[in-house]
Amino acid sequence: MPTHVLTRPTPERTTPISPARPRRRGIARATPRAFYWMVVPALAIFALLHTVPVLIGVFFSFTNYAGFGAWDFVGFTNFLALFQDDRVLKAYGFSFGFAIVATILTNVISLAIAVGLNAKIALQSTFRGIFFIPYVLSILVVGYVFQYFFANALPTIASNIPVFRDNILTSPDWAWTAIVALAVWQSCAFAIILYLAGLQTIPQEALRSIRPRRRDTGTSVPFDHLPADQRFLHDQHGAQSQGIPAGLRPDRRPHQGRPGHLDGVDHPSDLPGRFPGRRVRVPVRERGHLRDRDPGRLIPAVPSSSAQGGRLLMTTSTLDTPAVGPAPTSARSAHRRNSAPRRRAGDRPRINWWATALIAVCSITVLVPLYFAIITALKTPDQLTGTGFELPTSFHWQNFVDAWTLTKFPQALMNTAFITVGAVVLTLMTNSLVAYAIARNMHKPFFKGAYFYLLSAIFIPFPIIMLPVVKETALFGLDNQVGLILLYAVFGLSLNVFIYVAFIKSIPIELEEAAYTDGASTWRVFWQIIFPLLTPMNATVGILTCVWAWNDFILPLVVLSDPAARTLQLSQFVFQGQFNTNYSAAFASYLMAMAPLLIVYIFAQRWVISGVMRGSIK
Amino acid sequence: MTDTTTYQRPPRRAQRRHRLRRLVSVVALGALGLGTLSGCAPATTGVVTLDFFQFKAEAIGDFDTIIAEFEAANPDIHVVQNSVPDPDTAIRTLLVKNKVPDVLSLGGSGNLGQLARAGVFHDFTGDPLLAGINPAVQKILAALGTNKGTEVNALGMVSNANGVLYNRDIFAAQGIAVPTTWDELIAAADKLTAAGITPFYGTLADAWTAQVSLNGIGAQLGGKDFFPDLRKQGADVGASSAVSFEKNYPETFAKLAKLYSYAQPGYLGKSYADGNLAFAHGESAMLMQGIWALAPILANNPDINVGSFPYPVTDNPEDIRLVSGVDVAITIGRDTPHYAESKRFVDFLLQKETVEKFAASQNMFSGARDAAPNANPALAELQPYFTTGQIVGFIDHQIPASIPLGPIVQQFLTDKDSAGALATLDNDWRKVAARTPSTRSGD
Repeated sequence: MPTHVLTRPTPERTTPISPARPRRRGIARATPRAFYWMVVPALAIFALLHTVPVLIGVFFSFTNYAGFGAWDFVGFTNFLALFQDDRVLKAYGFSFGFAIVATILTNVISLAIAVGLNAKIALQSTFRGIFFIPYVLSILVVGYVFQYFFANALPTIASNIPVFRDNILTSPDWAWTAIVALAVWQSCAFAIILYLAGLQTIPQEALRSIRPRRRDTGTSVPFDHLPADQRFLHDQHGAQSQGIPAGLRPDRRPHQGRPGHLDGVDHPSDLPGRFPGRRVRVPVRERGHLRDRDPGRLIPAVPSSSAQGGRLLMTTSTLDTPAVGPAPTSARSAHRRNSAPRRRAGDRPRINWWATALIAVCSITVLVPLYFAIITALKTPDQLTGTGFELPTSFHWQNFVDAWTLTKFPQALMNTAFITVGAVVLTLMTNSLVAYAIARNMHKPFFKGAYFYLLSAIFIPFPIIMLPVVKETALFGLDNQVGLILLYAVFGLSLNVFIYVAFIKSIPIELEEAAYTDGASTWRVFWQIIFPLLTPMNATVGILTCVWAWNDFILPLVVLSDPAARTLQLSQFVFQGQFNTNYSAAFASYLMAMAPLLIVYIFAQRWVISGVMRGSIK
Repeated sequence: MTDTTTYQRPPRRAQRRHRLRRLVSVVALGALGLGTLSGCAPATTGVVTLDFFQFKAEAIGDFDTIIAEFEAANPDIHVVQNSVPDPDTAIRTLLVKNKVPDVLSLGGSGNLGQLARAGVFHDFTGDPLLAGINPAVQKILAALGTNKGTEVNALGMVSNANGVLYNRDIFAAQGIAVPTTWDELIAAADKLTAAGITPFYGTLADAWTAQVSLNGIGAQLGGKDFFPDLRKQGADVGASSAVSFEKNYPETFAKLAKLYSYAQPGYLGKSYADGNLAFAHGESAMLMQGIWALAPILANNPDINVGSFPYPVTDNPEDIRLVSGVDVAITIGRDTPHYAESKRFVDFLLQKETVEKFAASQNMFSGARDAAPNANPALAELQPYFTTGQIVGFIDHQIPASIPLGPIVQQFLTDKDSAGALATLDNDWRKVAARTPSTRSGD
């Protein structure tokens, strides 16, 4: 393996964007073949399983093919029929309005709730868990609960409001509000996580802004406005830039995984001048690299203060708890002399009871439907009456037993878990690889083309490709769980590459160059330097893929052929008969299917939120 | 200022890489193992495995019992019941994959006809089994559509009935006899209203329930050959064509609206489940639902004395036809490599005893010729219509799924715009006919 040293400069680099960051674009050498190996197979599979189906799907739109039997070429008849139909045109208008209203509401509400959740409230992690629930609830549960609520509970409760009195769902003028409410209710959950993550990057002090701003004397980063652990990092920079001869600075060494801390690039002391108003960003990014999972596999063997920083990094959701580190280093104590006493007083964990009360009230919107689902699962069918909120006369645990046996729960659970874990692992490992190769070669037409090619698939709805995909998977013998895992990784590629590329671009390339200089191969650089650095994005992509694969109905339905391979979402359909649905048993089964996801989230939420958070900083 | 930071290699580095590698290989191996597992058939020699596609979730247990009995008697055949969620989509994906199941149970709906026309099912013409099946039931199946228009592609196992459910106790208390003409039905409804009893419980929050009553009336009033004639016209459908919804269905729509005028206030906002519950507790004297609603009604109130009668839509009791669909039809995949074994299983399924036991368990009517009187008291009154063959099929089985019949009827019952609704139906039919050969040719 030849060492990749700086050779052939590409034309772009001859005119650097900014004199301060001369080598930010691309890797300064001939593209190693490895990058092509990272992208080309993925592109080939993507083309096969996505683009070919799209083309076939487009072709089918000009025929009257039903998936089997004879068919004719019908030209534009299908399209004409669509656009001559008032209902379709109306639906376009409705979808448009719906998307706008729902998006605005989702974001406003999520931001408000996230601010509340980010405040110092009692039972913080419990509330965060609660607001995640709508994201993992199956749409079947949500649909039934809301329908029952609007049709039965609301008319009883709000009998003096005309619109609510006779089932808002049947009012041609107002039914859409109910649908918006449902959509917002469910999509808020993930938006809250994103906002929460974003909010945590804003220092508590900025939110409170009680004390007057003051500039620190050592460097020009406004010290007081950084959370405790960032202050520590800041101190580190101070120490390094001031006390260590340049040649001995750790960042000079190869394999030193500390992007953002390189000469002239993103150095904190440059920040106020170069990035006014972005003072927090770089130090925060640094945190990821000072953890004991240091990407270069070289961890700072620092005494207590660094350990303190490292611990904080792992538990970012506790950031708002002030870290009063023991035995501060000399550099740190220099800063501390000025600020520490006052900070301690101001940062004491004081529970904000107003915010707690507000969040508690908001959480009712989640808890009430959940309560409804739980008591429905405990009722006998003849008790499903009234407003639906009445407690059952006796708890009918038999529903859970029925659900367990009728859905063949253990087997379905194993199938679902296998598919979900497989999809997440494959997605994380392959999609990040593709994104890495693309992100590092964006200046080359091939990779840029690949990027936009993959990205364009985001806009293609699944129904277009469903039929050809089913045909292809059967043809290749992929109509099983393995095929499903592959499909999740391939169909997720578009969005995930988009997410990853944006993040990878923010990782300084010097890291990799150092590794190349040491003789590391492109593959090794990826697996040992880049992949660990991607943890924040892996968290985001991981949840997206996990919840998608776990709750997906249509893809398993059309792809899986063997009844023994059936997932939870499929086996639950046993309760939906031709005309009659056994709601009690169905709900018991839905709750059991949701439980594993929720439990995983409750245990992983600190990691998830901190992961997503670090990803939000670029 | 002293920098205490030194850098060292973490000792667990190699270990971790090793672990990652191991994880990868475990996943890969697992995937491989699974692929092989799902790829090969059971190694038992001499036993033929039949793939039995089963659409009816309510009947999984009954079919399990039947299969167990069958396998006990036929140790060389193993039947795997593939009970699918969303059967209409599931069967299509299987066909798209070219994996037609060996034996299938399907609902006798428009979907079955479409599949039959596509020629994916076995032709049972001349099969001795046909002698044991009620010809009226087979006729309804045939009307859904068959390959080339001449084959017999499915066999009726059990049938449902779409009439009016009524509370016998309320009828008796009000001195009302089962109506046999339209006027008697209206008189009964008026009498119930006068007595402060809701005649019908409307459940239009579920659009398909409107479709159910449309079937009950329209299948009798729309004309015997309405749909074959309509198909012959192709895309040439409208108020001026020989047959059309606008021409043949105004009376049906008027009578439908008349019946719904007797529904309780707020019927637009009540669901199917609400209706079953309310009817079970005597909140209305009648419910415009088929016999499939009996199970939830009896679950809500096991003591209700419920009966059913066909919609009397004319002034002549002789004209009454019971609208019935084939609830479970059985067929065999056309190109199955295990035809002989499949046939043996189908023979077993369609034995008179098996069918009757199944029908009793599912609250349905046996599709067998000369079926024994129905032991279910709620169904007993309807059995004669099967015996005499006075049954007709559902009209919504003839209407392609791409026409939103339920919402159109629901809309009509909301705004009472009969002309608009019928014109919409004709328009939609024309559009579908223009692009679908199966609607056009009718064969």
